[in-house]
Amino acid sequence: MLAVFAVIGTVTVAEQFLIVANTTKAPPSAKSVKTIEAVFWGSLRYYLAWAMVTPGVFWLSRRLPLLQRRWWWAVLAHLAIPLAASVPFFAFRLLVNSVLTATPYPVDALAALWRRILTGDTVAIAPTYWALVALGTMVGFARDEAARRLRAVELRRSLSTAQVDALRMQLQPHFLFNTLNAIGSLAQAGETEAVVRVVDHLGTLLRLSMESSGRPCVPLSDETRMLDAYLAIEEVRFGDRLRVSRRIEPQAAQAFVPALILQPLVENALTHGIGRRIEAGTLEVAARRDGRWLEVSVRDDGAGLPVGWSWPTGAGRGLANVKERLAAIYGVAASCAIGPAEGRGTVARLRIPWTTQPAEAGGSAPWNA
Amino acid sequence: MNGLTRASVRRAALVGAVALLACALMAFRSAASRYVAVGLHGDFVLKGLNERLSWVGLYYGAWIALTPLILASARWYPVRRDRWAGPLLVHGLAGFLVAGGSMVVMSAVFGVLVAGEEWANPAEWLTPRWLRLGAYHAVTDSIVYWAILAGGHGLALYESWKRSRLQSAELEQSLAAAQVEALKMKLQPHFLFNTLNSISFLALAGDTPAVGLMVERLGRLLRASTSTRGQQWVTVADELELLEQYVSIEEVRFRDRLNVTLRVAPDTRALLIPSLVLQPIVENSIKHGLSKRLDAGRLDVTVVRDHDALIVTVLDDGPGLPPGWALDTHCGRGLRNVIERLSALYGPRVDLELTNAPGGGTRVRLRLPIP
Amino acid sequence: MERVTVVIVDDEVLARKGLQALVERRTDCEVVAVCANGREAASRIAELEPGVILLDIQMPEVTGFDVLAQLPPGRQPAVIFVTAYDEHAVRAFEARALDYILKPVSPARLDAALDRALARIRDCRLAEYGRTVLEAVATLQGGAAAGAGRRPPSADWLERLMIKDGVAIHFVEVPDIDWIEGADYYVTIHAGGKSFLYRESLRHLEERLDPACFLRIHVSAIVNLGKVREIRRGFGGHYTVVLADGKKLPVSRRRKKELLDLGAARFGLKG
Repeated sequence: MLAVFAVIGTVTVAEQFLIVANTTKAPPSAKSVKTIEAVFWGSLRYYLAWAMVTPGVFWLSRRLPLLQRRWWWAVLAHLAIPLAASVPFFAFRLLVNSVLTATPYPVDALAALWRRILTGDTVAIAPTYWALVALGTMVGFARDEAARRLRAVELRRSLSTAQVDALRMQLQPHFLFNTLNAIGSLAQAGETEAVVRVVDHLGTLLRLSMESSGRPCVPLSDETRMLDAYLAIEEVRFGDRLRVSRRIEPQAAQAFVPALILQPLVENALTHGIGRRIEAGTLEVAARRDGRWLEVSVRDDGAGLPVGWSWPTGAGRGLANVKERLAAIYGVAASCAIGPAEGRGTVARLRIPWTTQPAEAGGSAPWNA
Repeated sequence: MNGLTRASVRRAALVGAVALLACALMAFRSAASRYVAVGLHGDFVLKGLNERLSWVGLYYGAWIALTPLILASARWYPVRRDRWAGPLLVHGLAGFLVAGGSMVVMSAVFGVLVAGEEWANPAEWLTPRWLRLGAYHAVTDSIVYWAILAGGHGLALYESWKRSRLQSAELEQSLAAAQVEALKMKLQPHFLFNTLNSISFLALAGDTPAVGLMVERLGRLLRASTSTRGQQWVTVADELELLEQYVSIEEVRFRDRLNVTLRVAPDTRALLIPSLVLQPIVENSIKHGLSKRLDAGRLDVTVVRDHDALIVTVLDDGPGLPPGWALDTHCGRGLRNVIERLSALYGPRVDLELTNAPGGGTRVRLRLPIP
Repeated sequence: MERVTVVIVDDEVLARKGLQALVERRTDCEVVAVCANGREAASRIAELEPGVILLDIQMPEVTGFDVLAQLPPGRQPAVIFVTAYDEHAVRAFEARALDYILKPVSPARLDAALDRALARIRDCRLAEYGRTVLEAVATLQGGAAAGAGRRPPSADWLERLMIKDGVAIHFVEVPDIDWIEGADYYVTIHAGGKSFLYRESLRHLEERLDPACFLRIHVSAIVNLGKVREIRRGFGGHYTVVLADGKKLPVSRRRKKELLDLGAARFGLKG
């Protein structure tokens, strides 16, 4: 700010000097006593002229931006431009004078004319020019920022997609290690068929999770196929401690759901629910259509939620991811709720808009109004 | 010219109208200023250089003193896109009042200190003459108030511009990292898949010890790769660990048909390279150089330092590249993944070349600048 | 010698079967109980007093550590953790477990751990035998022999290390270390024919190892005096240390004297 004042101050002081120096000449106000209206119109012409030059100045302020690494070039340029503008003024005056008087301008008066222009016109237009440059820079900021905000939204969306992509391709390492261990044991026991079966399930799991990468939504039937492979492996590991029941309505199987949305729910049910009990437990996955909605539930009769646990504050990474993805794709239209089941255990309920078309994340689906 | 939509025409018209209005207002102001000036009847004239300079000094002194207050008021009640009418009105009025009032006070001070009786006669302080002076300054100098106000807004805009630039840069970085990570993650299922197929095959063939061995080594490989999960840069030593685990698995698959030598210069072990780059390259060489042969094959991997770069060479004695093979068009999924990630980290020109080795086989040479 | 008794505890049936098969391949071990949960394990262990326990950690309701806590004091079995999770290694180390094996289980790794367990049991039995004899002698001689059976005063010297590379967890007993090699950012610990990378500086390790047993003979080598077979003298006053496994290590001039002093005390070396 001080710099600005310094510049303007210097110019004004110089102006005063020049005024004093020029008092020998008749003061401009005496030269032409204009009426107020004349002043108005004259000023209007003056300002309109500036208004028309303004876009050009704004353009210049973006081409010679003050906020770059080599800002001194820009400052120099902006200092020089008013000076350079004096040339057309000079030429203009010269021309007008010559044309009006029909005689060539006296050469010895050229220097005086030049000086008058420099001290008069240049000094007059310089501050306005610089003010406009400053204004133009500010406008530039505003525009840049708006563009950046827009881009930030895009970036955030891409980021969450990429993160989800990375996440989804990680099967829980502990699951993998335990499964590999089981395969090793089976091989040792000579149970060849079992080895092939488990390996097959694991391969299906991997293949399905690879296939769905890049697609935010898949049909529920794909999702249940993957769950089947996953649960088949878990049944081998848990042995008698796990019973699985599936109740998927045929119509529900056609609906589109976010990819890998059920996996974390089932994992949790096994790890925190049934896995925490010594006795056997049952896992039930159910899906049905309810008018405009698809309802999916994952229920277990295991250890139940810890005391004081609440949704969504108690959610771990897997559940938080589910919640985020639902919000990204469906906005507020979808819901996921985790709570105690009747009797014993926990139930996770998913309620998403019914659709047989894949939805884009944050797209223009009807529920995103 | 495309883009000449209704909306853009409307917007241009709006801008034009606002500009016209602004000019008219400015012209009006000039006229009003002149009107009031004339009304001053030649009072308050500055005579001599001394007076002029003192006046200028006081003038600027006053405005400099006022600047912090004006900037504060800009922060406190800014003109925003969603709330502009109120602030514009308030600051407009304030401009007049502040300019007029402060200049009148300053003139009085000037008069008392410098100009003397012509300028300031305390007895005359509440006369219309002073009101006219106030009006003059209100009209003329209010523009200074507004200029300072605009400056305040400009500063605020600058601050938020800087912030958004920083945020933007961070986001871009996170995104790039996540994308590279996602790409890297793509490799894992493929590899697991292949190994699982081998396990199945071995189980069916009744080769129980081999299954156990493979399972065990696959576990180690997975642990080696998850230990560097999320890291884009790992030490050569870590990457080698991964490579050795991978090679051990392939050795089970190929029995005695695979002969791998790893030669790593000790001064390279602690250097940082992008993770999961060596393994896919070796996997590619094994796949193309060895798996199609019936006899044994060799693979030589060397890692050496060359001034400011790391040179990785993988040499196999397989059939070599088929005629017409080109990296851009024919390279496999694993190599493509590597190239994509390397170009994301190093720039578009990745120094990876695949050529036929003298004496048969293929040579892969990767040059990585050391960060 | 009679077979060492082993109890297996894991909540997954296949893991139990696998471990049982691996242990039963050995002639020096015998599986006496296979438990599917921690509760069962605690009672069976109290009842059977096994020599070795193969213990899973993540189990429902009663975890592996809970089982450890419930072990009766006195005859402590050798505990080998077998788990898919590497997060609990530190806790296992502090609980003085003998080893920590990651799933999928490598038969070779299990064998190595069982070998160590058997060696430790043998040593304990010998020590106990020795102590029993001493006590018996003392009783005969009337009055407890002062210091008999009491452990020598130990400062806080390092007794065991936990080494975690990206792939496996190793619990290394310090007396088993042959020598330690220093490098820029890490050291390499050589023990029982195996080498492990350990992220600590040689100087720091030197400070924490009992100087009666470990000597730094070189700017980049610390040697376990208990593993030194001989000290050779070469040309120009250069000395070389030869370890029990044949490994030769040079001795720097500065450390020569220390080595010779210690060597004289231990080996009766002259000059």
